[in-house]
Amino acid sequence: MTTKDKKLFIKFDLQKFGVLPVLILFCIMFALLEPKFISVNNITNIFRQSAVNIIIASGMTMVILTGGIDLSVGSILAVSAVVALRVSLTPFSYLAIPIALLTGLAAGLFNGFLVSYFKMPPFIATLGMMTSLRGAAYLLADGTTVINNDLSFAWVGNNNIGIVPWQVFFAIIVIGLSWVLLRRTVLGTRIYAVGGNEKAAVFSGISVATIILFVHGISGLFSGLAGVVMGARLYSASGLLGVSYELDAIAAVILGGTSFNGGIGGVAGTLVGALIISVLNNGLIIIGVPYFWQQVIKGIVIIVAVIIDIYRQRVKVK
Amino acid sequence: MGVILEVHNVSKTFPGCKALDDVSIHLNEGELLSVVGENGAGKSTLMKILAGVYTSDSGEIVLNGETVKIKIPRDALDLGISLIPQELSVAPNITVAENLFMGREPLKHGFFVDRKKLMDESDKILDMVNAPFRARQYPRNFSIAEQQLMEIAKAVGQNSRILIMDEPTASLSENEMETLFRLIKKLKQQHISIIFISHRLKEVVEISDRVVVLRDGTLVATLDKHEINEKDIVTHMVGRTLSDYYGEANTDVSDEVIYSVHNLADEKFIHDVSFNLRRGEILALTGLVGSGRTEIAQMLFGIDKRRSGDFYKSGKRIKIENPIDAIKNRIGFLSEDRKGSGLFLDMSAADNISFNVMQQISNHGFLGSDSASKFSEQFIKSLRIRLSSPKVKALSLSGGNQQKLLLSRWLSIKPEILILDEPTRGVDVGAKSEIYKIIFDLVADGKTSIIFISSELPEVIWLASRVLIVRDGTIVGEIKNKNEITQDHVMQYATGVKDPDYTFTENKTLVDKENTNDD
Repeated sequence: MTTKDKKLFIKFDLQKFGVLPVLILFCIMFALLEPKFISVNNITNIFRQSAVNIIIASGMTMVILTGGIDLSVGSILAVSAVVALRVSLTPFSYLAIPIALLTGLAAGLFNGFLVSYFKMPPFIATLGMMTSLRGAAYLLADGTTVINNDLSFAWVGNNNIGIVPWQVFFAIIVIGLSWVLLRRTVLGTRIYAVGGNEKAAVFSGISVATIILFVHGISGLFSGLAGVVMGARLYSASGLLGVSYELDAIAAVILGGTSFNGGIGGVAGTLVGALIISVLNNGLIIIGVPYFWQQVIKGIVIIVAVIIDIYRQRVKVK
Repeated sequence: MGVILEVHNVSKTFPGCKALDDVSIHLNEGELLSVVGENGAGKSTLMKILAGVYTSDSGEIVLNGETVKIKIPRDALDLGISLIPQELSVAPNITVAENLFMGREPLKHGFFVDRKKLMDESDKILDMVNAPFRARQYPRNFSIAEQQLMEIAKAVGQNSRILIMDEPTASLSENEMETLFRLIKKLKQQHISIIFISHRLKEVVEISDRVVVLRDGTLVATLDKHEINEKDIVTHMVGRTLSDYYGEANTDVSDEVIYSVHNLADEKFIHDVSFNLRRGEILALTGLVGSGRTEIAQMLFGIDKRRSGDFYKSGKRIKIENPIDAIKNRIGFLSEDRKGSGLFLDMSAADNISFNVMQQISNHGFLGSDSASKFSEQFIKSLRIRLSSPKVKALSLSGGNQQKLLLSRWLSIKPEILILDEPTRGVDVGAKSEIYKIIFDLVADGKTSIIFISSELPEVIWLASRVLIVRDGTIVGEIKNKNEITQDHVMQYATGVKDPDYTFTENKTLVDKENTNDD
């Protein structure tokens, strides 16, 4: 290996850490401006606030790794949450979580079917599903809010194990499983392969349709889990849940260094990306930045991150 | 007839290869100059330098006695040099006139498009090139010939004095070709000069005023009108030796047919392709670019859809509808497009090598952090792939080593039949001879039989135990005896100098039928 190759190699390794320095920088900045930021209470809060986004963004990472996108995650969340609440009000309340998860999975698989079978662009397929499922969530909730003050699975959103809230625990499990799937299984390698070079994957005898179906199924399943968490936290669900959550999830994935073109990235980065968004949300409030300015700043952070992504692609081409 | 264009001592180097080496040519006014040479001889590079697509490393271009700088395509157009590319770029959603004047529309009040003038001017230009269509038409359903005519009209409309035509006849019918040649004659009378690139030597001889022959980036011959004949052109085009390479061809191949293909055809181009592959054989499928070689190879592997065709492996009929089927039957396919349809550039070398057998080396689908690296070691060693660690990205390797990654991927499935499409494209001489050695070693024990495609004739001659020549979508000849496999012989079939040897395909079909009866 020549020295030039070595240089290139080190550069790519640095990219693995991606935006972690940015997260640390933000944390230090907020801590200096407002010491309350680093209290145990606030840190637990940040994690709790980011749990739902981490869960959704993990599935989103896999979809984006194949070169796709899933805009319907927020709507799937709403449908699953309403379904969970509805079932919890029946004698079969113990089935609430499994049925909600299956609902999410089914919606995701349908997305995957549209993309792989009809060859629809993922953006369009999931845009359509986003709208339809949003309507379905309102219909399932009869246009109001389904409330259950005696929710059998309320622990998911409100109890802790030790000092770790259950929802944070779920988020960690989801990130962990996703990491193992992507980095330590044949399937994971194929997800990267399809996103990195679909044609080569076909030439190597990979069924691209199966991979696409799988990642959308996972994205739906995780969105269903996020719906369970939301419903549990609120003791209620309505068609309004999870509106525009897809944007936060996509932002987390891209901030985390996963390439929009697919093939590059992973859930470790997504975790950092989701935490950056939560830290920004939390920190900007704590130091008293007006709401409208919070929006502006968050947008700028995302744009800068995408510029970095484009720059990274250019380095690759050279 | 004065000299209009002179090219002095132009050189151009791409990473890893010298595309043009000190080439000088000139072009007279109203002349048709043909530039011929094998694939990779440097024709396209030279034309792209004239058209401003590339810039030369050294040398100068003199136009009408003045030295000019052509840095971007716009410069060439402004100087009156137009390239009619092989890949036509006609926009189907706007009118013919808007296509012709794209980027230089006549204006009214300095802002609005002067529609009337646009249409009138366009019709005038269309008349000049005898176009059968009018300015207001949309080129939506235009044939290749009509699109080409639009490109020519565009050039004429810009008052170009020099037209560069890159393989203009490649996808034209006999009639369309005649029309094009008539138009060329008319343009020449208007003192427009034409640089013509073609692989079809018959037409080169027919229409050229002068021919220059390029080989390996250098100018090897200039033939004046009275010297132009096909045999001499072929002799100048080839004529390389393989003293640089080593390895040994296996001349004694068994008679056992391991694989046979019957009546392969696709929807439009490929037809009546039948052949046998014998155990331990290196069968070359050769022909010019665009002859259909790659399409045939891709159909054998189930990538391109076919209309008809059956495959038999060791006498048994097998189903190949997609690459998954092919791989199940232990057929491997090394694609000609290493980066486009071969490598996963952002994945590690080890993942690239083990990709096709990942399921087998995994533990119920789970991989250890080193599973792929451990598996790849044997190939990295035996194919002498040079890398610092199996975990480096494929991206960071040289062309030769990348090619070896791909070869390893296919060797890992222990292929019985291996299809190699341009196995040495874009690799340096050292890696080339190593790849030859790998190929020879593969067939030595008869476990693997190889179908290989190459545009490089010396390579075909060096490796092949038998050669099939493809032209216009079908097999037009076979060269069985190793000592008859010469560049001249192959070229004569490939360029159409030698008429198709149809007896070959008929015999083949008979032999195939006999084999089938045996089953």
